[in-house]
Formats: sequence, C-alpha cells, structure tokens
Amino acid sequence: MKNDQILDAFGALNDEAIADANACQRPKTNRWLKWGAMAACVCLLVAGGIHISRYPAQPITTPLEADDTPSIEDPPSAPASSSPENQTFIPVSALLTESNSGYFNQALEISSVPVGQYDGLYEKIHSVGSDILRESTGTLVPGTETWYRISGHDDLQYLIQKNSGSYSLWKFMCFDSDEYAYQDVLETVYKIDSAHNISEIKVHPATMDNTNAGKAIQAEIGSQTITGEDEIKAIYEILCTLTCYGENNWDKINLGSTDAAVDQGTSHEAVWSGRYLTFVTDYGNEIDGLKYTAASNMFYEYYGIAYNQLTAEQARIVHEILKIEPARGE
Amino acid sequence: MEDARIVALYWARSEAAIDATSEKYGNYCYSIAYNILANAEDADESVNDTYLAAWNSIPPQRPSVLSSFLGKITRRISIDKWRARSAEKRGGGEIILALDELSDCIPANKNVEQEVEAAELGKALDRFVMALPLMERRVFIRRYWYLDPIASICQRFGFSQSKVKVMLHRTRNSLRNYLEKEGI
Repeated sequence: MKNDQILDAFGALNDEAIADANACQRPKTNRWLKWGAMAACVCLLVAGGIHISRYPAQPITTPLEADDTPSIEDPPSAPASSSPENQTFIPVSALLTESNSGYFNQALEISSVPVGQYDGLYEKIHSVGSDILRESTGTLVPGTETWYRISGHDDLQYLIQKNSGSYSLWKFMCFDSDEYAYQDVLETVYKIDSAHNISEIKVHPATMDNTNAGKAIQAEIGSQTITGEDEIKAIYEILCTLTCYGENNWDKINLGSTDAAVDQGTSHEAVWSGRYLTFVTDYGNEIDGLKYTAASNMFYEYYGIAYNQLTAEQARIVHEILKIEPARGE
Repeated sequence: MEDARIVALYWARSEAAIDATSEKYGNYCYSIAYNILANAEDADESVNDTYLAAWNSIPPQRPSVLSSFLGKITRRISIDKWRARSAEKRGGGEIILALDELSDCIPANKNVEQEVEAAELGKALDRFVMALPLMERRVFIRRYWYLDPIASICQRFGFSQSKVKVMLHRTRNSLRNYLEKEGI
C-alpha cells in the first residue's frame, strides 16, 4: 500500500462530515471580553491572596474524608463536568442544513420543554446527522432527562433531543402561555440581558408579496445591518416592554393589504410596512423569527405569534431605525 | 441561492447553474485546489474543470450535499493535475507534507508496493473517520481532505500548533492500527 492510496481514499469520505469540517469555525473572541476576563482573573487572584493572608488555612479534607452526600443545591441531573465554559463551543451554523432557510422552514413536530417557570415550545428542524448531534451535546436542560444544550452554549435557543439512541435538533418557538413578557424570552432562552449582548440586527424587506411589483418594492427597500450602539439599545429597550400572546393569533396581527397580485390598484402596503429582523448575539447565534409591520405597529412571528401594539412614540423610533415610511404603503 | 435550486438548474441544463455554482462555491473550490497545487493559475484551471465535471455528472446525479460533491471533484482533479506535473515542477503545497505524514498510516505488515482495492480502503477509512471524536475528526479532515496547512487549522479551531500536531499524530497511529485490524 502507498500513502498515495490513502490520500485518494479520503476522497470517499462521508459528505456530511466534509461539510461539517468546513462549517465549523472557532467563534471570534471579543477582544474586550478577553482582556476583561484576564483583568477579572487578576482581581480574583489578588482578592484570594488577601483572603489567604488574613485567615488561617482550613484543614484539608481528603476525598475519603469528604462528605459524599450531594448538596441539595446541586442540580440533580447535570453531569459533573457540565459547565458550558469547559466544553468545546460548537456554532449553531455547524449543525444546520440548507433546508432550514426560507419557506422550507416548516415545523413537522413540536415538543414542550420546561424552561424556567414556563414550558417552551420547540420545533424540530433539519440538521446534520444524529452522530454529529450526539457529539455536539452540551449540558442537560434542568428538569429534563433527554434535552441537551449545544456544547459550549448557555442559551436555550437550540436544543438537542436524545430519543431511543437517536439525536435531533430543535429550535425555540415561544412559551406555551397566553401572555408573557418577551423579556423573559430574551433572558431565559437567548441569554440576552442587555443591549451589549446583541452584536447587530439584520433587517430585510418583507417577502410575503412575490409578484413582480412586490419584488421591485423589496429591491427598492433593500436590506440593512444595524450596528450602532444607540440604535440597538433603542430596539432592545422596546423589545423588553413587549407582551407576547403566544402562537396561533393571526387574528390579532394586521399585516396590511397583501392582495396586490390580484388587484393592480392596491398599494402593496404589507411590503412597504414589513421588515424581517435577525438578531445576531455576541456568542454568534442568529435569532431570526421576529418580524415587524408598520400597518399595525406590531412585532409578530411565524405561527401567528402576536405581540402587543407599540405606542406611537415606540413606533416612531422603530420606523426611524428600520427606515420604514408608512405613508408609502397607504 | 439554495443548493436544491442550483441542482435543479443543472437538471434543467441551464447555464445559470455554472454562474450560481461559481458565485456560491467558487472560493471554496479554489481554496481546495490551491492547497494542493500551490499555484493560482493551476488552481483556477482546476476550478473551471470542476464546473465542467459537475455539468457532465448532474444529471444523472443529484448530490445531497452540493458543497462536498463539488469539493470532491476539485480535490480529485487537483490531485490528478499535481501528479501529472513532472516531479521537479510539483513544487510546494501541502500535499507533499501530507503524503509524508500519511506514510505513518501504512500497516507494518504490508509491502509498500502492495496494491489494495481502492473501494475497500475508502470504506474502511470512512468508518474510521466517522468513529473519531468530533473535534479530532474535523482536524483530521481539514488536514488530509482539505489539505489545510497546520497553521490554518490552528487558526480555524483556536488550537495551538503542538495540540494539532499531537492530535494528528495520534489519529494517524490509530488509523494504522485500525487498518491492521481490518486486514487492509
């Protein structure tokens, strides 16, 4: 056998594994975060040194002498080495497949998972194979036995479910509740505690009207990426005030006229008024469910997930940042 | 454009398929070719040959992972092109280093000249690679499928050079043991 033959034999490798090795990239580290963490370590060392010098050393307990009774505060089901910081960070993009984009993103299965005080509804999505998912599992979700975070992740946007030895990927939809604060979703599911946790917001025109005229308007509106701190903070603060009414609430959402295809005289209000938002978090996740319509000054999502109507002042701020000119749709 | 749509264009015999492939996967294929050939002109030629080969093979094929399908073609064409060069013109490129490293994987009981059935070796290698822990598999594939330089693997995964080298060394030894056990 020659080494040439082995080199050639690599050509027969599994397509998914090849694509996975190409998709996986170390997340870019935030320079300030890195130096901040180092500074924090120095502070801890200094503080630790002061503490040791002020207090006499405690007797060291050997493992055999230690009390093996688990603390009541220990998470009952979490593995011992379960801290996300100690795990390899696996970007979500490495687990998704192309068919998750656009109109192919249709839920076939929905499951309920306990998330803090709520039950979170998750949709099963297309992903890489079960073997890769199995090796990408992170910490167990508290209160469950088969749901795992993605390795290195503290958020709950995507979860991996183990079911009869097979692994599948699930994406958060909403809480199973008739009314809850969207801030709870930001904090509990997406681990967004402040505007600083949002790196950028990508804004695309609404695509519900794909007539030639609708597409022309979409092209005229164009896409934009919001990176300004003040603008992100303003949007974040508005999101924190939102009340969500859960799924299947299409009757609460007024998107404006969408029948442009049959009536050339209509104003294409839905397109002029609509924007689709993607929030990119500081750990690289993309939250792409939220949409906005100036026809009723409301945020909404797939599955008819409705939110309360914004105040006139909130709507003015959102329209300015998202560059919506509601008058053009009237 | 989504992969399914690009494949549909090939099936419709639309030349737009080539444009869409070039736009989405041109850089990907070029990086594979350049790693092997270390020459911009030759790499460009390999990428163009890849488009032609894709055009000739879809249909009848309908690849499920288009990136890997195209990458495999580019890799094969580039390695063939590299072999076709005369020995003195082969020059640098990661392939020389990778080939040298891969000699670690040849089982001790095999004569260097002994031929092994390519399909059998391919299947055994696939089984071995798929059984590796995830990060080791990724590093192994980056080195011997994509023929990435060690430095770029370190940058991609945030590992030190020594970690990557040790990881690759252990994996090559494991592969040799595995091939021995498989009787290959």
